[in-house]
Amino acid sequence: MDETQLLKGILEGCVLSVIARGETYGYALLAELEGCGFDGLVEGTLYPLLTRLDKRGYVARRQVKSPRGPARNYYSITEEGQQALSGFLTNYRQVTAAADRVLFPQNEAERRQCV
Amino acid sequence: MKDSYAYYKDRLEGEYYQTFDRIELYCVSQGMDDDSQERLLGELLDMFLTAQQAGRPVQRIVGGDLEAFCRQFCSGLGWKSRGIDTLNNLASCAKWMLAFTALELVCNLEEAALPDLQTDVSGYIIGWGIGLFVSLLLGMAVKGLMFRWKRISMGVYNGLLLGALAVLVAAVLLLPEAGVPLPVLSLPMWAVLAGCGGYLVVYYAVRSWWRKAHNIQPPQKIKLIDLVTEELPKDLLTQYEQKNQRRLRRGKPPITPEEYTEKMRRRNRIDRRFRGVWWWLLVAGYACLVVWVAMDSALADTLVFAAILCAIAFVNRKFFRYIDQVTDWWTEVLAVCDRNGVTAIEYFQGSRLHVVERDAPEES
Repeated sequence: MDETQLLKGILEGCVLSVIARGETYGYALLAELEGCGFDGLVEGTLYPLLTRLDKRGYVARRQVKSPRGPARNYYSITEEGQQALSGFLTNYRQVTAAADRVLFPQNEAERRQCV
Repeated sequence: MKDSYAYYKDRLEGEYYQTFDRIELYCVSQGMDDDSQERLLGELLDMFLTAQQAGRPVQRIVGGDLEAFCRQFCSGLGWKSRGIDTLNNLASCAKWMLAFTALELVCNLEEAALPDLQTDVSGYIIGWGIGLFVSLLLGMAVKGLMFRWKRISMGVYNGLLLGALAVLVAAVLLLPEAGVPLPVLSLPMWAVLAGCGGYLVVYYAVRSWWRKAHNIQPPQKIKLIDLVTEELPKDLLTQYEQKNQRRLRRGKPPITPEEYTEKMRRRNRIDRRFRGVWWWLLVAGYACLVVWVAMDSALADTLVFAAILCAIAFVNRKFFRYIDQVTDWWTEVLAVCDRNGVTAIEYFQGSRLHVVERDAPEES
């Protein structure tokens, strides 16, 4: 089964969750997601996602100028972003709990419940 | 001094530089507008520089399939970006048309009143139209070929664009000589000036509002002294090493660091003694030219000539300011070398090793 569809559904929430922990920038965000196990994630996937979040008002972008390199964009979560993240976490818990019951039933009773 | 991400591109090395160059080529050839380039490519460049410093392979940033990365990177831009890019190019065309029409007006004002004066705009329209068409065609060709033929780079693309421009200019100049008439579109001069001026006012107002509404920052400015202190040690060290390699190939002994330092010390003494002299000599030369032209020409022509020389002097002044900054920098460097008993080459090597880089997050 194609893993990318599964990734698409949760990546936005995961990115928002990382940003909610503290203001961050592109490379640090990518490194943190990779460290959590999102192997194969590339900046080309990340950047359109950040742009979408920015357009919806879920994240705020702040440009920090530097004489030693190009200006760096720092992302922080907004009020709307916090609400969106709460909504995502609630839905995620519900969906994963239901999926766990289907995929990994604890006992015969649970398995019969899902049939 | 305005800056863009492109200034920092040379800090990339090896595979990082080649990969960034190809991504940049893809974006530019697809008509990405300047603001989007600054935002997206600037951020990507920052990521590349950080990852390069952390010693990670570039594939960790772009993945194994560069073509897929480029498509994903540019997704969502489409024709909107190309439309904005076209409006930007039209603004450049309008600036040139405004400048040259104003110049034409000043030269011809004595002959007739403004409402009666006409100007030929066909060259600008043909140039802009053909330029747009050529860049569209080139973009399509680059998109089709660049991932199959790795020789295509930004340098090649820019060379092809310049070549097309040269052919266009040659055609405009030579075709009438060969008896092929070019179309002439004469418009009232006041209409051209009002049209171009009006477009530029609306363009800058909308661009300013757009940038504010979308939180787009203009390219950051860097100070001249930062440019000098950041780049000169690296460039001078490279030049010194390359010169010594050439000398060795010709069978000559290399220049020692001590000889190099002494030579730069002598040059610095001369530069400090004659500081500002070259600039004032240039200004005196321009003034003599204006006086010479004034003796034989009408007032309007003399004023136009003086205005052109002022514009050239303004550009020259930036160059002389840079020379002054370099002279001051060399004075400081030589003073540091004397205090510490090192040569200038050792200073460059030390400053290159100890350049403070931006922090990269620690690898987990």
